[in-house]
Amino acid sequence: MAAGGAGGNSGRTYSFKVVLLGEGCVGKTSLVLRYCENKFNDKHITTLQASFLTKKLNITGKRVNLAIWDTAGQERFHALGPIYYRDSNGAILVYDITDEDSFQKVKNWVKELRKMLGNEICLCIVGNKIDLDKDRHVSVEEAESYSESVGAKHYHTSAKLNKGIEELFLDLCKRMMETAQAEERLKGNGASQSASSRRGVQIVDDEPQATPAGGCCSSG
Amino acid sequence: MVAFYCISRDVLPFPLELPEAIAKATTHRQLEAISHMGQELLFTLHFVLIPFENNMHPLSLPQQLQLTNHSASNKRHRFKRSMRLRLSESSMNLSLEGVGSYSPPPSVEQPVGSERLQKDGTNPQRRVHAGSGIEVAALERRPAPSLAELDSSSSFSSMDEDSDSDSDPESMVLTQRRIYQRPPLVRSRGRGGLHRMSEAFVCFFAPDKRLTRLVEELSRDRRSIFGGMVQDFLLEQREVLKSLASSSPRVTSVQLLQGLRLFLSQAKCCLLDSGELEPPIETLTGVPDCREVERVRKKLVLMQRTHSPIDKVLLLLQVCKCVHKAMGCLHGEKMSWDDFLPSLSYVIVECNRPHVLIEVEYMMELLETSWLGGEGGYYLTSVYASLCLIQSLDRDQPFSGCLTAEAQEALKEWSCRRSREAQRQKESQQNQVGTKTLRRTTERLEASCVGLCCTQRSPVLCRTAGTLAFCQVMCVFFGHTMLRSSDG
Repeated sequence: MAAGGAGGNSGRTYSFKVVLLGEGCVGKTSLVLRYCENKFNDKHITTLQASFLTKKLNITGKRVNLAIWDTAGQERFHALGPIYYRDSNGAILVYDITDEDSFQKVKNWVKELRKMLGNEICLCIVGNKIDLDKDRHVSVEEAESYSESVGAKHYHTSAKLNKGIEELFLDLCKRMMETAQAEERLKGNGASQSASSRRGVQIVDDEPQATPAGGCCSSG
Repeated sequence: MVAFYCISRDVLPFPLELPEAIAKATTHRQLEAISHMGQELLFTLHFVLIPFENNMHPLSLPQQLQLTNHSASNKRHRFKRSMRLRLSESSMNLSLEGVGSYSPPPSVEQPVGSERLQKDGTNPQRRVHAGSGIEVAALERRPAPSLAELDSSSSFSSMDEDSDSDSDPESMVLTQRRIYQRPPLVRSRGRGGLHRMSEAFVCFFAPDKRLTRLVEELSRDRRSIFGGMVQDFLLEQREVLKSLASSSPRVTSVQLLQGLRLFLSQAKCCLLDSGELEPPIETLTGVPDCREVERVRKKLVLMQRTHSPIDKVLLLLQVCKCVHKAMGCLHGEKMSWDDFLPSLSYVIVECNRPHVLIEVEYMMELLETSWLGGEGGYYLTSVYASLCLIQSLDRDQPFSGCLTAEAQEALKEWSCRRSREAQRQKESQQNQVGTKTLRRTTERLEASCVGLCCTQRSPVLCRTAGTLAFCQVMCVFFGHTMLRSSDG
């Protein structure tokens, strides 16, 4: 039942899977491309990097590997969602602030994710395209109050202007780290095995903050 | 005349076709009819043969001609061949039918309204090549190119259109045969086959050209609204042209052109509104063409031959890259994930390799879990999603039902199973003083082991050399594990 590893390693690396959900054309792909490659409207994306992106971060001395899974936005592919979001640590639910309908779709996703993955998944609701604020059709208040009510955080971004994206991902990473650490603690206390073992992507090495390191080595 | 053709058979570089047609003429009447065809027939034959000679098909001309002597039906799946074959056959049979029922050589001056002539009108090339009625043909040509304007990306001129047709022997021959010799009944019966054929060879061209071809085909089909419209217009124009050629024209050339412009617009609307144009999927979205599909198919075949799940997933990545590339090339701009899944599904269907289902299962179960979280895992998931999509279509269900309860349950179970496994592995690893390299080595070894395990397909190999290697690898693998366990 080991949770932490030997204390020899200097740091720890978190590996998180983040799934991008939202209707087509809300700018999911642009958002993630902007974040990972600082590109917008790149015309030559013919590599495999277009839908699966990774990003390495260093947050308060902890290494974080993000794997971002883009998904098909069209409604007809909605049913394929579970295939993609399984084992996710975080979900970024994107809507277009000029498109009320896309916000409704986000609500559907939230319901589904909470039902399927419970409260362990960190949800971010993202109103994209704030550069088109004059055409806004989803009010800030509504979006924020809704997000709060479902335990999600709300963000405003513009992939075009590169606004709010860094903050979004950084925040999400911190939250996922907290969740992971909380889970570690739980596991360290021998409480929940099932909750953590459900996850495919987890902490790779060593030294959880509040877990006594000695407890695990003996179980090897 | 018959004698001339018999002699010319030896003189011409293409002797088979001509005697075949004549040889089939068993009655005096038929022979006479052939003789009436005169120059017409000669040009017809040239028309069939010369493009063959010029085209890029790997079959040499003699081979092609040889094929014409055999039955086509058993080779239908090799559509290019079969297409040619059937064309040649029908050309011969039907030319005789045509000859028998219609002795005098047809010319433009024939009364309008005869089925045959009206069909002729849609085939300007033949007229031009036949060296008669050039003047009329040149004008008749115009309506056809107009259809090319409907093509999304091109604005072919009439000449482009014609040269385009010239470069495509199949379609030209096809056109000629269908229009020139086939009696209506035969034509309608042959339509399904021709349609299939055209669909098949349509794959060889860029999407815009494919669409052009589809429209062309539709324009020749009088049974369609659009085809009827085009054909009626052609008939009408012929009348107008005749009067134009006379001393007291009813219309001026400008009026004629204006009428033509009006028709183009109407035809375009008709085509868009009638819903008769049902272009195959590859003409609509930026999905890979058949060359790409073939490339993917080869990779899938290769995948079947490999045993290591890592090798398989690497091939899978190549497959996805092919799809990505093809999409990127066609769009020439940013493509989103939204387009990828449909394209991937299309390619998988086109490849028609059902074993891909088992391959995916194999990888999902055997891949080391760290791979499942990476790019390989992502694309494996995508292929899995595609397969769900395809299977749901099989069941005639709408997209909404594409992940059945059982499938969801299975997926969940799989996810739990693999995660637990990963957890166990992680725990055991964490208890060992393993460097990254060592861990990677063991991962790789594990993959090799799995690969070797799966040489069960050839048991002999497995029992002999395979087993040896397998044992060695296992020893090394377990050696590491045990070593590290003892360290822990």
